[in-house]
Amino acid sequence: MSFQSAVSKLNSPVKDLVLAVTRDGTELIGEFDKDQAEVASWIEKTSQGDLVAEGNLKDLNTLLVPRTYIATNYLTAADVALYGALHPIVSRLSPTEHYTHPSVTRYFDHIQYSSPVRTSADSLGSIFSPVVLNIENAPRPERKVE
Amino acid sequence: MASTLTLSSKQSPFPYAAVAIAAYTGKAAIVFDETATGLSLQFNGSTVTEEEAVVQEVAKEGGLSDDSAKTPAFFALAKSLRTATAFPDIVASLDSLDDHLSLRTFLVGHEITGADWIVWGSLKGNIKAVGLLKNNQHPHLLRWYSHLESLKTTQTVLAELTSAKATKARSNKTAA
Repeated sequence: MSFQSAVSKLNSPVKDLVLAVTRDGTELIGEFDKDQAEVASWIEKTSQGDLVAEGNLKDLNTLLVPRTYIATNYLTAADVALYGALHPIVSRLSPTEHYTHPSVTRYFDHIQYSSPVRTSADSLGSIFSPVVLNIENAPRPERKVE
Repeated sequence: MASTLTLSSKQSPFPYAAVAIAAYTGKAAIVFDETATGLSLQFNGSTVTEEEAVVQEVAKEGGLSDDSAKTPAFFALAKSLRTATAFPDIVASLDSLDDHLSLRTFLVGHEITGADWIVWGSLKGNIKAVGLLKNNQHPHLLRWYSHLESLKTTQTVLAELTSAKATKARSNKTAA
């Protein structure tokens, strides 16, 4: 699956955001063939909807625990797509729900403030306005006793 | 590149933070000199030898400093963690870092800063801390730790360290 055909499966406004951040698929699409295939595959998964369905947040949280970025170890279009698809969900969750899915919250907050994403998101009006996550006042996570 | 970081590959504990941030920012050339007695960073006619000061200077040069009030606490934590040997002390540090990183990608702000490198280097150089980390009780800390280690510049400098150690071993053999 190529980048362009994966992106074509996304709905607006997520597609518009991905195209804006990647300058029509010329940037952040992965450094080598292997990375590019990963990026396209995660965009396709995002477009299918299950990955970001509200009922599957727990699974997405588990998936994100060991990952800083979704496809590779640097920011790519796959992160932009996932961030965009998560935006309507994360923005309507309560603070308690943000804290109970810490890795989703951490990931979302990181991507929403990365400068390429912020610049393009702001240029699209208020659709992708920053979601306030109140990280500073989060309760201390419970530690499992070994 | 006006700055030079000189060190020996056999230094213990090894100053991982200094070499990793030098590689990451590209702001200081790294020279392995097996006759060096310690770490030293030379820049603009000045020399600093303490790892904290080296990391701060390179962070400043590379635009990775920040004025967060939290940064000094992470430098202090890194310093005690580097030589900590008591398990309860190490576990308490790992717990607090893991809690902090559960909702944050990096220690301070939204990008990698000097605080990340100084703490990463202390963990990396403390074999007991690395062992405890691999027990999987600190998943958020492990994500962060692995990310910094996986970066291309970190991998390159760690390979250079391995090769400097190998060269030293070979030259010792020849001498003997």
